[in-house]
Amino acid sequence: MQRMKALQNDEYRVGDDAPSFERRHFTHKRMERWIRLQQFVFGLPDDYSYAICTTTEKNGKFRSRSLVKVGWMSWYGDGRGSDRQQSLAVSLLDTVEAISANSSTVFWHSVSKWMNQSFRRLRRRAPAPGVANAAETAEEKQLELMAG
Amino acid sequence: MEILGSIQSENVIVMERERMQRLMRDFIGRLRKDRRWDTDNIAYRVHFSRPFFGGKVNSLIEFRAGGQEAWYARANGQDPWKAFCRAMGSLKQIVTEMDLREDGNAKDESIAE
Repeated sequence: MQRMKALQNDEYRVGDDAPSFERRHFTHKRMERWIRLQQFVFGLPDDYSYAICTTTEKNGKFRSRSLVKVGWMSWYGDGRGSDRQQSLAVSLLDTVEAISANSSTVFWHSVSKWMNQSFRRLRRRAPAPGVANAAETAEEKQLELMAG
Repeated sequence: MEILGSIQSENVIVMERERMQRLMRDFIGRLRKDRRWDTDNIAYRVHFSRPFFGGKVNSLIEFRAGGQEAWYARANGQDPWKAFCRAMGSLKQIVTEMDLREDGNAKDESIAE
């Protein structure tokens, strides 16, 4: 029974005081919202995971690290700040910038791949420039020269 | 050091509770050795939930070593065990990343000197 009480107390201690609990909740909410947005905008895979570690250094400064994995991609952010929230915000911003840059690269890469494929298909459909067209182009060139 | 933990679930049946607890204790114990925490006890919480839409299970891992360190991880997966493994995978990767970067920084500093 005592052990259970201790467990409950420690559970409460993990939860910490109400304001920080609220902030932690918002951190999770914000991360999830951001990841979902990236998945939607850039067509990233549905699977995601993230981890955050916040440390107090010996000099009293705070340091946070955050790692986000979406599908096969992962991004790491690192931040230092005067308090826990600031260091966390810096590291999250760092990760978010990395995700944004990388996701847009992935997005444009897939767009260019798709465009190239459709151009290739169009080129295949068009008649191949052969000997018959060569005479036409020569005639066109001559006309151009005359006009010039 | 005492590790106290709880595994909670919302609309999800969690079968591998003991296995999860063992993994969490191993992970926290290893971290404590590497990072030299001087706290007496550490409490952790693993929470599972299933959203209304979509079949995936969300897992949340949180623990705090006194005032020194706070760790959070979250992941989604097809079932609780997979979701837990993904969150644990992220936690382990963040440790590796931290070590690698700190080693790299230490090397850079020694070269600069």
